[in-house]
Amino acid sequence: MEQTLHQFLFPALMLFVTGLLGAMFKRNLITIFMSVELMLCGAMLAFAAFASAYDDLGGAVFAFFILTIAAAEVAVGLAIITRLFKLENTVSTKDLNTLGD
Amino acid sequence: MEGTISFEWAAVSTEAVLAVSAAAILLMSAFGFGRRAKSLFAMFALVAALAVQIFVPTAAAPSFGGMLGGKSIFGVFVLACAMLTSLMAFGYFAKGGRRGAEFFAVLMVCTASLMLFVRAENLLLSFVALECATLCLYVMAAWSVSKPSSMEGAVKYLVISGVSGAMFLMGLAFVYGAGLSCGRDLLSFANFSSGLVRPMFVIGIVFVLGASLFKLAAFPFQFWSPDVYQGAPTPVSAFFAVASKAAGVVFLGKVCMSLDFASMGLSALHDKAVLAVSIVAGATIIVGNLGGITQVNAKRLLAFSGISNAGYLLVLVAVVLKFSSLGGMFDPVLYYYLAAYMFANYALFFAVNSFEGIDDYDQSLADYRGLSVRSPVMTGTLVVNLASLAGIPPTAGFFGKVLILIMAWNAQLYWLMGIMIAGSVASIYYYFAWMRSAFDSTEGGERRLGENRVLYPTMAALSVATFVLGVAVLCMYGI
Repeated sequence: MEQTLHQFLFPALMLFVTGLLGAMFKRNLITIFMSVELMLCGAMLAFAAFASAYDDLGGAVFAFFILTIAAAEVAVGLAIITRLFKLENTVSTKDLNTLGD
Repeated sequence: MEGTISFEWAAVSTEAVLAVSAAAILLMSAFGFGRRAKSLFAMFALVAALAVQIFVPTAAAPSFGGMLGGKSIFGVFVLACAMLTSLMAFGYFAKGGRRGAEFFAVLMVCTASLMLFVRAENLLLSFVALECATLCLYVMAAWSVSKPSSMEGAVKYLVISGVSGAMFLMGLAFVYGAGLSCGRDLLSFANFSSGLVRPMFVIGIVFVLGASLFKLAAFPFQFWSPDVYQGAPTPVSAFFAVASKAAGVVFLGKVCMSLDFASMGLSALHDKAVLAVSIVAGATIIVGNLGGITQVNAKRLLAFSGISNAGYLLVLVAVVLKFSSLGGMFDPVLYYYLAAYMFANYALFFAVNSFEGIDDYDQSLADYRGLSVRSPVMTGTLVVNLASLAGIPPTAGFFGKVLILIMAWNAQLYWLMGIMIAGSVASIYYYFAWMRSAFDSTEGGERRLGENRVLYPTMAALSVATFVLGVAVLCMYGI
């Protein structure tokens, strides 16, 4: 059992770290946003792995909560990014420098 | 608990009032009600929610299967923030900001979620309530859809908050896994202490606490706040600065008080945890105050002031983490400080709101020149509330800081006291720079002052509250 749990936890962590690196180093807002979703996927996989390894339904329920929240976040997030693109004609973080002194 | 379903509706009465009113406001558009009717209804609903929060009796015991704790004073606090934000929003919309009474609906949902977040006794509920509040904050930060500054702030908040949310969630996964491996529900706050012997739990809880530092705008996750405060519509910046930050502190304090290291005999780990929180608190104070010194934009200055205040509040968290016996003093000191912080910050944001031009981010301290001649009420507001933030007696801010210092003294965190005092002294410099420009009559600012009937009375009332709250302490101890 332990063996299978680790087989799933490792990719979960990989997904999470990949997403984190993407969010930190990418310049394109859409890519950054996808990376954040990747991090959420990593966490979701970890929940599912724990739930199935210990035969507990809680983690599976949790995954649904995360799915719903992620969907809502995408809806709001993409709306904001689209709006920004309409106003500024860019989705690159390099061009986000209106704010400051 | 198994086999019984109980719904203690009285326990969530305030949140229910807020949620139903929010839905009602959205529906009112469909029936052709105007903006004025909807705004008045929103105000009425907030007052009703406050009345329910204060007068409907609820059991202190956890409800909903132990997920939700009893009502706390935080509910009153966050409702007061929501009311002040709505008052400011009236002026903001009147000034040519984007109209739309739906703002109040989003604000109410956000308020209700923050209340649930703070009352949660289970990390699952904490997460769901936190994300719900965050989604509303995204929408509110982006409310001025035609202004690039607002969208830029919102995008920055979106990305950073998204990352912190994912971190929170990963931490939760670890806590959940650790709980399964020892057969206990470690997601529940009551069981936290028994999880401390498991490394997986400790890693998870570090992730969760680290993610909540984002909400608080504490070091090392403070970098987003100046940009977001500057870009967001001013009423929303005030809500970010006060309500969202307060929720983060209360949550952190609650988790730290649930971690009982002594009963598990983990004194080495305890020392490390106290040191980590103290370092974060100290670094936050230093970063906030150093950043504030160079600011010439009023909203960014308030953001850095908010960062340093988060640091002072973290000192309080470090104290209760070190000596849980001092936990009884946590709530009185915290809420006194938060009340002082709320009065001062909202008064200043009101001043900023009545002063800025069409775009939010364009706010310079130089614009305040000659204000003492043009508007005595606003100048008085600036003087009293900046003095409170700087910690000058006899304002409430001074006593709030003294209370935290006394707590730190009792907990023997002497070096942290030193940083806190040094930070407060340094902060006088930039708070007074703002004050000075109001009295500088060399050349008057050309900005038009906002004309709004609710603005000046509210500012005056908040300044009086800042003052009275301070003097009340003096009277209480008969000094």
